[in-house]
Amino acid sequence: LNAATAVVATLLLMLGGAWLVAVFDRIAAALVARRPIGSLWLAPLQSGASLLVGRANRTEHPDGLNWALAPALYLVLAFVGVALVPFSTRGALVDIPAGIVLWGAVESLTVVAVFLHGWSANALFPLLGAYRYVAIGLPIMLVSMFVLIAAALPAQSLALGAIVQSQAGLWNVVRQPLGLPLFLLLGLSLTLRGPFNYADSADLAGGTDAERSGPPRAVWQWARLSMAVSFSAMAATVFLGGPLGPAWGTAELGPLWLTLKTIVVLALLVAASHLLARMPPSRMLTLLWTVLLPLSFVGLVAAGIEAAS
Amino acid sequence: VAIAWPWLDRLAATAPVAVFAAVGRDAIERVEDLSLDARIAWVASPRHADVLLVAGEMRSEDAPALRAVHDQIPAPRKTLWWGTAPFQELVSPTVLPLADEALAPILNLHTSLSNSEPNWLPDAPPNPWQGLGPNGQGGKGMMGGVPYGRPMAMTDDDGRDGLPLDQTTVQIGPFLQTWPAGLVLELALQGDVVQHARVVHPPHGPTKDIFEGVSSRLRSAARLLRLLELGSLAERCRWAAAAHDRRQAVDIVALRTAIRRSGAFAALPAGLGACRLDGAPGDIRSRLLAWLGDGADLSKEAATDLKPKLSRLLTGLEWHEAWLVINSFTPQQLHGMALCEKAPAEGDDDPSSGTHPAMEHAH
Repeated sequence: LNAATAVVATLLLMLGGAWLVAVFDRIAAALVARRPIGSLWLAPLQSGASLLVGRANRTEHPDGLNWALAPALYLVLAFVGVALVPFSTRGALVDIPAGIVLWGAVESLTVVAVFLHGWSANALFPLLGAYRYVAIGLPIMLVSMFVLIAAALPAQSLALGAIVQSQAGLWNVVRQPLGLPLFLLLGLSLTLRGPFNYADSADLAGGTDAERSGPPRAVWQWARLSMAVSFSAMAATVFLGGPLGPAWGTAELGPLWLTLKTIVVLALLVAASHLLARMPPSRMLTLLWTVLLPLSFVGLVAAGIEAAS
Repeated sequence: VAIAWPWLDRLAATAPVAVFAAVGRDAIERVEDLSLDARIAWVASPRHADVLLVAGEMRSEDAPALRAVHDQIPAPRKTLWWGTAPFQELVSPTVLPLADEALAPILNLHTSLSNSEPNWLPDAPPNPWQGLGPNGQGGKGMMGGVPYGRPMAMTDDDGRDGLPLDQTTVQIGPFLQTWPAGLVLELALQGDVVQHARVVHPPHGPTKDIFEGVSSRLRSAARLLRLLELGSLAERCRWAAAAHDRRQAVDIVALRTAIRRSGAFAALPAGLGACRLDGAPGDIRSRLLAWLGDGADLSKEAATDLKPKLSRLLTGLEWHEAWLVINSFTPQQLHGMALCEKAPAEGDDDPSSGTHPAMEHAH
């Protein structure tokens, strides 16, 4: 694969993946609400089109630069995440020795992108959503860091390719049972979903998204869906063996296995966002700092003991 | 910025119509039933809407907010007046009695969007800058005041630990999606914590029978679930309410089980919104549970003189908790509570209250 083909393929993957997440969302909403699904395959495209033909608005005295750039930053971060994922055992679009560290940067810069989105509107609801998101985003990111360091320990490497190879005998989802569930919580936060939707929530009339209309809103919503794809591909890589397949397969089948595993994680993410309640922020902060963070640390210690023995 | 490709326009025309509902008296259940149709998308912010649905009788004091909300809808836009009298200056508004179905008229309006409505307000700040206090904005020194009608922060002590922090006073309501129709609150916020709350306008009092049926209670539960980001379960409650209205059987036990499994009760802090209502003690959890009951205790809604103060219940809560508490009362209960504490005269002509719409800073 040359670089240009890979970039185009990644772009198409992000479009197709975002569409798939939107379809999953509609299926989950209909199943939970116990009603017929209705229009399914075209519906995400129709909604996207109605945003694209709409008119972009400007609030009173926004932070103009960040108002324009925040949705694009969020989208770019989702792209960077996907580019890091090794789609075959031969490597990723961006194959660097510390891939998992760069993913950590994607996580923390997402907090910045969401904050700037809320901040720049110069309006009450987006601003409240922005600050609240940062308060929750920090501890959940710490949880994620512990989880990812634990996953890197058996590989004794920060390269995603090495983490995949370290799972040849046993996937991390079995070796470190706490890892994937805790990492899924981070995925809900990165994509502003369900129990971790503190930024764009109903009690803020859409939060950081409340003042948006037209094409920039389409970019913001696409970025949210793309980040779900990016996160799921990363989770499949770190915990489900990435492109590793059954023994009878060949290395060429790697992208297929990774895609299937990514879809499984996506389905879990969508289901969780429709089925689980969101608690008030202060209650969530208590849960994060006193239960989830110590739990992730226990997971890290266990992984360290296992790797040392 | 607008993209003009014919095929994109055709695809967009097949999308559900995004409707922002400004709800007045006795119309919320009509709007909630309407939103169950897949051809309608009931949106939370006027920025996301194509059509403004003015549903139910409006009060004259809500007119400025209604005009502002209209102007926040990006053009092209249209308005449907459903069971209420339109503003007199409008040329050929679309008006419909509340008894009629609004779906077809909304779909019709959507096809004629290109002929958009102009602004209803001049594109100017509601307050002038000059002439108020030493720096022109009002307030003390360089802080406080309402420059251009936008409240500015003023340092005040935090009610919980006395730490001095910036405090902003804002008006919330009367037109928000998960919010009692007509309620306008003035909140003094430090971060997202409510330091003081004052009822500016009470919510609309329902004119129908005081008796609350199963379907009304399911709709109340749906509003609370929506605030817990359980939109799909909330929709299930609204479907169940609509089915009950059509005299179909509704399995409330299964519904209650699904809600319990979502962790909704665990997510609500125990003791939040605790008060004695109509003589019976309870908190937000017990009120949600009662709404999802089998209807055995339906007759306990009779009004008594004992009313908790809404402003006291909200003080010290963070934003999300405050919204949950407000939505943990039925419209009847909330109307009774808010009516007792509405300060007459004060607030109505207060220059600092201005003409804030549902969302601050947004014009």
